[in-house]
Amino acid sequence: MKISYSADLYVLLTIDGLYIFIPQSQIESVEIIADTHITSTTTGAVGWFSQGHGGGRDVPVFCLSKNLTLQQDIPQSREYFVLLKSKDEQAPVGITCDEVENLNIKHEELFFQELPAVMKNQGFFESPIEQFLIYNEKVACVCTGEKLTDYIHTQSQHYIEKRTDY
Amino acid sequence: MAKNRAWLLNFGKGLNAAVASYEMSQIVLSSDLHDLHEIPCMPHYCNEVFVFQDTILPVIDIPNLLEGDRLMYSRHDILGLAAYQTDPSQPVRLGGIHLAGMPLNIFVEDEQMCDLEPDQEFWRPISHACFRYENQAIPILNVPLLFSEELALIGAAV
Repeated sequence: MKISYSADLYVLLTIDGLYIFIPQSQIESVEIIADTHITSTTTGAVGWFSQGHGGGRDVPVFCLSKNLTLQQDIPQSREYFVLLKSKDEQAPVGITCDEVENLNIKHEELFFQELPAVMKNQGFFESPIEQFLIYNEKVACVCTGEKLTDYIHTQSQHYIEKRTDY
Repeated sequence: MAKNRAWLLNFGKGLNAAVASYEMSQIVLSSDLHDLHEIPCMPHYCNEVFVFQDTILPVIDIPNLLEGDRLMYSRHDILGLAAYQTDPSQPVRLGGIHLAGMPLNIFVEDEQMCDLEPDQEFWRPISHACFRYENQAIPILNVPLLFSEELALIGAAV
């Protein structure tokens, strides 16, 4: 059965006070952190989540700081993680967060604002942030699941390269 | 003898530049700077935004742009809101610039125009003219360039 999602539905992640909005259609699931097998990894992930039973795949779960850098220590405030849907050959990833909330952009009367021109072209790590919106008197970042996954894979690759250099 | 009004801007660290009078629309003081927000994964010279009348404006840090890296967060309590157009057919937009002091409104005459001093070449990529004021060469900022995507090429080069 095909599930269709309203374009107005978003998932709000809170990471150390940073708000990130992701279209709900790009989220596979929301899980509790206790379901993650926490372990040290060579990729910068903080652990693994087993999807399904038996033949299910293991998905790496990453912990981001409010600066969206990888961190290996999971703050106590991280209670959930979201699994981002994978696209084509892209490997799926999980991201830990403090809070998760479903929101209807239209009902909440939230309005997207485009990234200012000077904030595009950010350098080595292309930012996953594509738009802004104002929520609860804060500026929230709007990302697609695909760009966020790409960004994390790039960060992970850089983490692996740094480890190799030492 | 043409006289033009300009704003003399102080960015701290001995850095001064100017913009045309119509290019600085408003000054925001510390009491209103709670609407300044840091944004991750952004250029080191523009990783903050300011919410002004429900519009999210980028904020430029000139010393960090010229230094080529983020050395410190601006601790000054003044934000200048610059007005610019990328094209005459485009709407006027606003952008924030961190300032170390209140802008000074001055007159500039054609006879004051000069070239940058040899030790001021770092200003050249983001300025389009220069004038002499009180024994100093003051660059005139290219405001549309400051808030353009092309600034990243300059930010990487300095």
